[in-house]
Amino acid sequence: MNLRTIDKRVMVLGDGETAVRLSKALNTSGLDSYLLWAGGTPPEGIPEGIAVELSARLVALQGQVGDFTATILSSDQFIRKLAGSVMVAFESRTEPVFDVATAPMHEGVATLEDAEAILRGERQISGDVKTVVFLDRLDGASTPASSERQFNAILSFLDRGIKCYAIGCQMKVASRNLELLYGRARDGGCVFFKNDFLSISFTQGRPLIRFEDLILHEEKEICADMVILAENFMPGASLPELREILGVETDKAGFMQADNVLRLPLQTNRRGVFVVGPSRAPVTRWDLDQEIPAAVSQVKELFAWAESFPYEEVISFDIDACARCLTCFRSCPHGAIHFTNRPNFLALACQQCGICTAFCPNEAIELRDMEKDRIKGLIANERKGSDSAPVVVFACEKSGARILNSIPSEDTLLRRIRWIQLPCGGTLRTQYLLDAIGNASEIPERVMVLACHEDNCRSGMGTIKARATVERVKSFLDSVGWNQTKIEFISTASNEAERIRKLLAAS
Amino acid sequence: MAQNRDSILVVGSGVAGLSASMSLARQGYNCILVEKAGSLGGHAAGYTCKAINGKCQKCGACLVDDLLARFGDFPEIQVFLETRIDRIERKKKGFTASLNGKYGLKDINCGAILLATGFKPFDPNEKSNLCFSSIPNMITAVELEAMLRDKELPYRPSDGRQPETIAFVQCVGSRDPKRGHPYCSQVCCGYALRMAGRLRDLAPKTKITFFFMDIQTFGRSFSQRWASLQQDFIWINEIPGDYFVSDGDRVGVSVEVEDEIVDLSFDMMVLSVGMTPTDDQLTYQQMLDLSMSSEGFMLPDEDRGVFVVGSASGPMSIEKSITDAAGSATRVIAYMEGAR
Repeated sequence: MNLRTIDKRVMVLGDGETAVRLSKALNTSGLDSYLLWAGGTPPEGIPEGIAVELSARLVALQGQVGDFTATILSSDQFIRKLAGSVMVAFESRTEPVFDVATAPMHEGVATLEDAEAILRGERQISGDVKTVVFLDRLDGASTPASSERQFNAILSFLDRGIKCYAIGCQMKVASRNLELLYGRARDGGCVFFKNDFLSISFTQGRPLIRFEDLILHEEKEICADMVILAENFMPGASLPELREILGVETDKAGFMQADNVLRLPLQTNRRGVFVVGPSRAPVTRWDLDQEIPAAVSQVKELFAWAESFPYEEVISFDIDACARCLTCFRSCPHGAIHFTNRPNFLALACQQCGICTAFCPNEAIELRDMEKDRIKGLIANERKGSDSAPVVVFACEKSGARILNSIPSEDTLLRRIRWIQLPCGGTLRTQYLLDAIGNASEIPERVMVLACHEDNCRSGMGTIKARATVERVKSFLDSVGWNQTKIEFISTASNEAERIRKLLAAS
Repeated sequence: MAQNRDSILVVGSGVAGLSASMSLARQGYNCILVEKAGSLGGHAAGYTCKAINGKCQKCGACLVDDLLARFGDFPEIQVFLETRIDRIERKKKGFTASLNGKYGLKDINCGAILLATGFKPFDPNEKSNLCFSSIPNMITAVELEAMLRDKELPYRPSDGRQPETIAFVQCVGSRDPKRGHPYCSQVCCGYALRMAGRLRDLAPKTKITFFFMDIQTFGRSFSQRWASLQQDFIWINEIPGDYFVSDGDRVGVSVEVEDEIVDLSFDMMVLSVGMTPTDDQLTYQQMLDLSMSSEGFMLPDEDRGVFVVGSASGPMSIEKSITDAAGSATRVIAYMEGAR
């Protein structure tokens, strides 16, 4: 087999423990890692053999898996580095759960981070602390990652003989061994209260907390020496800029992985760019312990895949039809188009969704085996069949087509439908829908597009685009008064066979 | 791709076993996948899509279909369906496992073992106060998953009618140290709320009540969605103690509301059952001399070539099983490289 030459160096971006652990794990498994370190002083515990670039910031990343070129700003100098893969592994920021902590901070109120500094001996407690109240979010939406920190701090305070109370709305214990940690804190003497509202005042310099215990329905009052506020995990400060540079999706909170199960475990929309640990989501210790070795497997699997990827064009491009409008470059969800004086299609980055082919105003781009003439032929041929069907379906290979493929061939339902498999809903062109109606000897009753549910599209926006295409054609047909064919967009998943069967049978 | 190396035995073909064996195969290792059932995919292959109004709810159930579709690219993974492992013998180097099943008896050699044997949904008959077997319209959430997957809509086992009122009882067999389940099963709040949302989407008039202790955060957008979830359903912060048949075929419970005992009844009740160790766990523990974790699941013995992946090691979501499988693959490979 003729293997591609793949650069197997991994560039790790980070500013803390995650990046250090990740670099070491990559190194141990035989991959060269290169650490792009945000800080000015080198991290501790980096073995020889791992190159570290200090005060370094990524400013551009071009290329594809196995062949990335990174432009880095390091101590006011631009440098270029080559790498086969990039891993984002920044720590998260923390933010106290209540604004009571914002200015002016009362000396009796500390954040969990302050408390951890006290426990590490880096900060002194002023005065004699005998009673501490831990305050969690009261809206019930805390995370296991943040309660894990809280439980650990409670246990350390209990160890020092300090009386602990904890007030929260819904204790989060949904992670490995977390319920046991919670139990240890409770059995160790910490009193937990469930509550969703409280007031804090200060009497003689000490915080006084009043609330109603929701379990026993009693008014409670605790006068403490110190109140410790739980903290939410927020995306690291460098992520907003970095996601623009890398062109990768984020979730609603700004963590650098879309809320899309197809990105699991550590992938982004850009093949070869991974995101690990607190850059990806708020994680517990256990989560991080799994994610670091998982990152090693993920990148090794990807390199092996890239090495054996055939040297064949997956895209055909008509340079004479191209208007250099940049639409393809802007619409590609996978960073697979590099624009020079023309689009260049990066074979290893392309996920063959066909979105660029459907967006291109001049139809200058075609996905191999999905050329418009072939699709038109499929539509026409299907329509000319001896028992022409009243229903024409365009189905995404990941959802709708899997369902249709699972229908046994003897099922009479299949006689009523003709279907065309697309690699993604995003491949659908307006013209295909019109062809399905117009190029037919017999006009179909229904034209259906079966694509994935929103947020479950491999290409992120493919299914949204398919829906928009269907809506556009519908309103066009409405405007010309065409009512013989019902055009529908239906989102689905491979495990919804029953629902789709019913919808198809209803025609 | 296959090199001159020992194979790796993967036991169980659920999300974790499939993911791990494909990860190992992609990294050039031979795998032998043994599954006691007649098909691949494990529990999740029977779960329903929980999308609401065309929007994915991120339960991950469809990822099994993705894994199975990709599994076709790995003809080199040897698969033994309807097969159990009778014996495992430790050799000077590696193991010999005696397989027993559909293809007869067969001894295979392997360099490492990955136990991806999964979990058992908590059996509500273990909690006698639920009276599970004598209340016809009380079902487990696993049964609801199958019902929605196979029939799209819920129906009452007693008469096949669609229920108008449904109650979910959370933490059944979880957070229960007295019965040996001193852990949160991590997945039940997620699946129950997602299915409840789906039920409301399919049949908007359905009234849904939740009996709960603490709702656990699930998914990335929980904090934004929690407020509206509180509006969508009726919430009772208590797990009922008594369960009974009411009005002939309804499900009744007694709960304490403001210091008074009140009886409530529903057309159907869904028990959000937790994850418990499988019945096979003890056998593997004995065969391979493994200890038990403080949560009651199997602990690996990685220094001696035995790895435990996915929910066989403790309650875990589909999402976490995928991560865990990839992570385990790295550890298995490190072991195999060291053992060579």
